[in-house]
Amino acid sequence: MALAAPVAHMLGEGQDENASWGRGEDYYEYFIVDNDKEKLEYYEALGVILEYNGRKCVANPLVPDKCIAYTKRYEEDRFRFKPPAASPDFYSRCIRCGLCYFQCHYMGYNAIRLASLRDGLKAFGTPIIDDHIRHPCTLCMECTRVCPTGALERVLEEAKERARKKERKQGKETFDRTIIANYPDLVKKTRMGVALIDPDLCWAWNSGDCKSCAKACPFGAEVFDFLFTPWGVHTRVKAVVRDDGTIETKCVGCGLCVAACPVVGSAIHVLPEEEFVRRYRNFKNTGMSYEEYLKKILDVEDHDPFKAVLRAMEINNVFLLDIRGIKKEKIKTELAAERSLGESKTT
Amino acid sequence: MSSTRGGRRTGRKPGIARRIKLWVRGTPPRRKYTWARRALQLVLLLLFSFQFLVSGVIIKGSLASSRLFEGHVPGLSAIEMMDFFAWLEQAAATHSPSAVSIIAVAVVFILYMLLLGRFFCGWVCPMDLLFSLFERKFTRMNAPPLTRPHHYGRVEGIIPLLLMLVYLALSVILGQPFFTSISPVASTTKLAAIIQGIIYNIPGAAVGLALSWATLTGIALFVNIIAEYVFGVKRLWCRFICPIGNIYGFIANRYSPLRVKVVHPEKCVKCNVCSMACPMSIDLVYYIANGRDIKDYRCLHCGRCAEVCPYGVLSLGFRLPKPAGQKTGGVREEGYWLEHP
Repeated sequence: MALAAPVAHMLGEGQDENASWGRGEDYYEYFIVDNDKEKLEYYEALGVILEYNGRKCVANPLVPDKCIAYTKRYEEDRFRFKPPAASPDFYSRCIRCGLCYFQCHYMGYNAIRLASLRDGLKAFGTPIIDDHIRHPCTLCMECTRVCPTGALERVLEEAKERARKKERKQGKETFDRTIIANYPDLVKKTRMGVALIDPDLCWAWNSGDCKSCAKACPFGAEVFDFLFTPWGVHTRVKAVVRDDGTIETKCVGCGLCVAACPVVGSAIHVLPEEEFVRRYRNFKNTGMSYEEYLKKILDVEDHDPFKAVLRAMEINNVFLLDIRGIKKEKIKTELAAERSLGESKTT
Repeated sequence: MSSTRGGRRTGRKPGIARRIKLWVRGTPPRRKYTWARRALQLVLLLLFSFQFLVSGVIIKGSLASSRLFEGHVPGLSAIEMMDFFAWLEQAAATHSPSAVSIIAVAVVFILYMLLLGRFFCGWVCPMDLLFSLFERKFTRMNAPPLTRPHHYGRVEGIIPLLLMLVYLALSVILGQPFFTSISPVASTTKLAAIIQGIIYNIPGAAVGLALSWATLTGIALFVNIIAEYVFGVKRLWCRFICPIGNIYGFIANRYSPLRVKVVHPEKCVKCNVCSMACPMSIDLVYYIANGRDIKDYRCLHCGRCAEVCPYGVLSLGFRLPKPAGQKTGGVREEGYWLEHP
């Protein structure tokens, strides 16, 4: 509609409704060692110092002519998401009644908040999930149950219905929210975004043994993939981007992994699908896709131990521990859970 | 005002026995409907605003869509209710009526469309509570049209209908429910969202929501107060702008069993107290003179006219619609000065 175009633009139709809170283009930050004389000398001795905009930064051992880049803290790289199972015509269906917001609060999650005028006129009054670190969505699917208009589709009921049909023949009826993962079309409906791990920031990609994200994930090993190597438990989200821009994954972007990550500012971020495809195809502006980048790391670890040690121990771990920091209490709770599990097994 | 209380002026105060009797029976202007209305509106507003104290078991949501007695209704998860105009706008925006909400709308449709008429505006809507705080109490009978009690003409009756169509058209053009997303009615009952956001420190829920809540409610209040005090038009928002109640008024007020009844038309002395008390500027004497029940689309069923009438001409209650042509037995006077063609 021609008449609608200017009005629609005023309402934010043309703008990206998932626009990042931070500066969307620059989603990474550099390891700049200008002010730290000790580190500067150390890295100069190792020969990995580059000039970037007149400042000294550490080079990426995998791509020696580029500075090493890390995903920004979650607070500077967060996105607005619609609640799970939002229908394609979400803004037309939503009548801004706030039932999902109230229900999310009564469930005790507080993941959903109502958009205020600051979030744009189009989104005003609709539910938004945008703080995964403090209040991740737990996929309880209560918001979809109470939605009166079908703006949030009743995915869980449908999955249960299908499971019931299937399992009635087998004579058992046991299912919970994770049965959504059995139906690829329902997973696609439920999807808010897709999680992406930064292998330079992730502890498990740099000699660690973490798996926090995979433990927190409601779908567990259906979404996460592990590669046990002497260089750490390499964890990744199973996601394949096809040539036409579709993503094949079971990740629905609930954000529980973001909350569980012990790295300050989280090494795993949930991205909207378009943003995920953009970052996946040109990861950290190196010209390599995410897949190729990971392969290069594995390749270096297999054939060039010096470079691998330089990457993991001398650069990434220093950034991780000195600049970002690791939240010890999160690891402690992880360990405590493991310990109690072990005890209960023995007794 | 106190001189007209009880319709009699005596030198001494009435005794205690008589006072109790008057209190029980009520003295004109009897305030029974107003008290009940205010009580219901306040209770509903408080239930909505502090729904989180009981985890939304009694009532949940806002007036755009709510769920009653979650988990305590046998056979149902809850009694769902959804605003009729929101459903219409949503159907316009998505180009197809939603089947999910059909039960929720049916509840509201049966309640208001078939039973209570425009009851929602006078007894449930929190904006009525706010508007009546700033209401002008008196209108001169010789004031210009629109500002005095009058029977609506063809133009005035069509403005709210046109606005409704404009809202629906805007919903189609913008692809989102237009009036529902800026409606002060739903927004006011979402006060709980702000209180919750402050108490439980929900990120982004407190300040932004409070501002938008205040903006929406404030715009409606501002428009209404300016219209009332500067231009002398009573309840501009309810009469023309807000489609939520108008759609009940247009469709249901004509046939709804709940209505302001003309019970003793022969007692009317045409003092116009009822017309002047009416918040929607209905010319009630016109109806009384014709011996008809009040079926005006503007009537909120608030009962103000019935409670101020010193002679008990009017009363609020249920009466099934009468066949056309049959009158309540009024005393129509030829050449009555407020009569309309």
